[in-house]
Amino acid sequence: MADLNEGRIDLPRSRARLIAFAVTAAVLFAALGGRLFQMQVLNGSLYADRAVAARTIEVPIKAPRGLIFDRTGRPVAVNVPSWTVDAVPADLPAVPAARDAVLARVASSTSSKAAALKQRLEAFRGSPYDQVPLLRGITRDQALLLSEQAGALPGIVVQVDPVRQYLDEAGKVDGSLLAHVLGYTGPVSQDQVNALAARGYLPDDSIGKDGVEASYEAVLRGTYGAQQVERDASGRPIKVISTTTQAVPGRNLMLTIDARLQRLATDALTWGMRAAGVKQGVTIVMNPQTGEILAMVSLPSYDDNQFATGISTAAFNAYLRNPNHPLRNHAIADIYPPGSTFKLVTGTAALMEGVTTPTQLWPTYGCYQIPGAPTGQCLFDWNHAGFGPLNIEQAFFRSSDTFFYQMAIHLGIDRLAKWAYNYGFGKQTGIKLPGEASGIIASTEWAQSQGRANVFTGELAQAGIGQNVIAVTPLQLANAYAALANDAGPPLRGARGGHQRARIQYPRRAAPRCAVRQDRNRGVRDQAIGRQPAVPLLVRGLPAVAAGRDRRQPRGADLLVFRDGPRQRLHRGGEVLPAEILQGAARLSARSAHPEPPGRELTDGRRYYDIC
Amino acid sequence: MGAVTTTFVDNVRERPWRAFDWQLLLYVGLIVGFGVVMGYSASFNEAGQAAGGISQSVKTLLWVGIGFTIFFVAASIDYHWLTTFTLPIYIGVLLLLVLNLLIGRSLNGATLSISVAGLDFQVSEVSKVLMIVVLASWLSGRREKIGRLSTIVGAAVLMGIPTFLVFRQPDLGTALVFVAILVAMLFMSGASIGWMALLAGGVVAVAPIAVNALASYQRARLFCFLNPYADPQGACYQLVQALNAVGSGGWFGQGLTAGRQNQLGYLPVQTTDFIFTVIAEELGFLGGLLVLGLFALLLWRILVIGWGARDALGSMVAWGLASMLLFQLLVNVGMVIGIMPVTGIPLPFITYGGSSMISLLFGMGILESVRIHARKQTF
Repeated sequence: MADLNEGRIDLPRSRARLIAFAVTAAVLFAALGGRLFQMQVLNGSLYADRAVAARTIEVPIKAPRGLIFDRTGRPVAVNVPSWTVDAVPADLPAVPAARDAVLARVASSTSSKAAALKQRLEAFRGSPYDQVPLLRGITRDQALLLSEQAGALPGIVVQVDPVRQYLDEAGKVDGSLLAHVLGYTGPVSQDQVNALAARGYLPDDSIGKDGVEASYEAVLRGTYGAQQVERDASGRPIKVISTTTQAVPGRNLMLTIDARLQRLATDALTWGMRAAGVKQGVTIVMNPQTGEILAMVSLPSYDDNQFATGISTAAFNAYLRNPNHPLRNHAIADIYPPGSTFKLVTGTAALMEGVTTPTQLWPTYGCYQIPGAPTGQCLFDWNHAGFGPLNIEQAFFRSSDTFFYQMAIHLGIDRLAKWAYNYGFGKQTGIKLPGEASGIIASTEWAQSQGRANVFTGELAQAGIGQNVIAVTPLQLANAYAALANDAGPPLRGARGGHQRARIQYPRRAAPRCAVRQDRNRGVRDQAIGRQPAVPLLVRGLPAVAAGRDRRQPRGADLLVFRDGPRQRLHRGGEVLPAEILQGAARLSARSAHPEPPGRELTDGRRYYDIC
Repeated sequence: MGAVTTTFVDNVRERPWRAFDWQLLLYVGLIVGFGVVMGYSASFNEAGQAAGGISQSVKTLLWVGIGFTIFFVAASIDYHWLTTFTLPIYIGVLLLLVLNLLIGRSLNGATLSISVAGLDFQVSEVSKVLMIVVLASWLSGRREKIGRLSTIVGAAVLMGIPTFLVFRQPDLGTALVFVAILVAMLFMSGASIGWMALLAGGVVAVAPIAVNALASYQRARLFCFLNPYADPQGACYQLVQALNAVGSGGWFGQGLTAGRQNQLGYLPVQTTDFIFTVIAEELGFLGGLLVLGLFALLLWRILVIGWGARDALGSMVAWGLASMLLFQLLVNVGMVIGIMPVTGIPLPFITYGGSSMISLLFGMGILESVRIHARKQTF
């Protein structure tokens, strides 16, 4: 064979260099293969876990909020779908003109302003794949209209979120009937979020803001679940991998309130307020045997549906500016001088402390000279004439102010205060509604907290008829009289004097429905009056308090009426509280005329809660 | 002597396809086919969204068709015509690179392609194969002067101008490929190792200055290579996602079109520079090994052809193409398995791109021509 290099006309070829090249290549291939083996086979699970962790997030599953029923099972707070319109910036047209056209179309379909939508869109800072809320609570028809145009509305998302809706006794949407009892739900505030995050609240969550929605929040809310969701690189959820925890729906709530009775009480109070020419009023209907509150009306009221769907600033400010404070539940949050209704306390104290016997006669005066005060400083009886000598039963009947001035002065402020506390005044009743006031009961301690040695003698005398240094909530007053009525005494006869026939019957053994409240009342009554002969005495005398004072007062079947005190100034906590109580009215109906409520357990086996 | 030459030429003239290298075609075909399948899988999640346009896989098949046509055309022509056109090719490459800098279409801040009739023409991809031809032609003409310093300096100048132009685009990856080709071809041509080592030492000495000259994003990538999990949400996000995807592959992978990282869009440029991530995630270690194995076979075949080439021109073209493929494979695969910094270097034949496919198949066609016109005896 010829020379191997025959025909080569140029560069020599180096076998060594070729081998060097090949070896280098082999080493590099081995390095790549080895590293691949290390990453994929040896450490594969490590990288796989990292990959799963990086693309998986835990997403909460919201639990449906518990419903609220009245005592007869009428739904008064329900969840309804609310149609919302969101925009996904990434999916909107990129051309500004086309984008504006989409917004304009949304605006015209929902009778809103395109400029406002644009502003909301542009104010948003976040991922372009996030949903930017444009509109909340549009109507079903508007939602359907938008959905039909979906093809022409890229980047617009119409979806349904549950929202709270409050109903009246007839099942109609009416937030004003039970607003103060139910309260409302609203978005969690920025301040709350951090504190609530540990309890599973989300930044866009809603929470009970007032009423039982707030006080029973933990029960109504239920427990949110969680699921592992795989996201794509832009953060959009793609697939549910697993459900870590199932959501537990909130439990339903059953009120002691009877919505129909609430309506009747509202109508009656509205009429009474118009007749009396006042702007604020309270009615509480309570079963004195159990302490169950059947109706609690505070007027003026507000529409809690406005809050549930997101109230406008203008509407909210209008509520705040209203001098009659529609957002406040006057039945528990405001305090009023109880006036003559407080003679229950003074009378009980006088009998129990031995200041007077049931039959002892006391003089009464047109104007009672305050002991120790300069001559002429006297306190009038309400008729400016006096009634002659009276025993305590007659004094109740006449509602003689000067009689009870004397009782108070002989008792002293602290013994009077003790019996006021025994009746439940001066402290919260513990009703499960937010914002309850304690009231004011004058005592030595109270006077010292005001920077004085003690109350003045004149104040002490006035405290005996529930004026000046005594202030109570309407609920406290209702409670005190329930405690009295709670004792199954002999049937009452009607009041004397040709006035109304107060036929009041006590169910002798009413089935206790609300143990807590009943115990409380029983306890109050036992402390207050025990099994003393004073009870029938007080009960007999009391209707006259209602009957005797105000001639203009319509005479109904009510046991008690108190109206009192234009423009009282109350001292509390060392400062003058400019609580101008314009007009207050509270009624306590001790009738058992309302139908017996149905059983508590519904057949679906869910548990219901009482408000009491 | 003349008789021998005549015999050789006659042999070719009588049976021009007798020496056709079927193995080269087979390996190239397998890699290209594999690339088409992986390209389909990588773009699978985008298929539904690419409404109206031709889907990527159809485009790839079109490029493959054009590429293999060019492959056979180049194979059927005696590669010595290349010497005739060396200067025009070189001038053409420089003009195209300058033109690219002037009117090129911008992509992610870098001008990488010229758009002609709606088709993007990536000048830097084409210029790699053309520069191999130019360099092979020039080196093969050096003959006895090959051991001199002037060989190295001349080759460096010849390669340096297009390297600089590519670097200015900025396309650091292609510039590095140019340098790798230059070094490998000088080495294989028989250039003085002493001079080369001296110059290489000088380059290493100024390396810190070069790092400073890099753009900030290039430095960030370098930093990520050193410790990817230092900033997994920021600068190193893409690399971390790629590493996680590769590791998730295991032995057998998650299946074609089923890689979660790929399908959910966590992988950056998954049809181009990060295509190997998809292979590793969806076909696992065995899939990755298959790719490496096919490339190993292809490289071996190219070296065989180069060794058996009739003259230095044929050998040098083979060495150039072999070093280019090896370097690109090393850097492209190396970066997604964390042993190389992230640079935009495509995986040959597999990374989606018409210019790359056509120029590579053109190069392979020249190799077939080298093979067809080889000496009778091979090593």
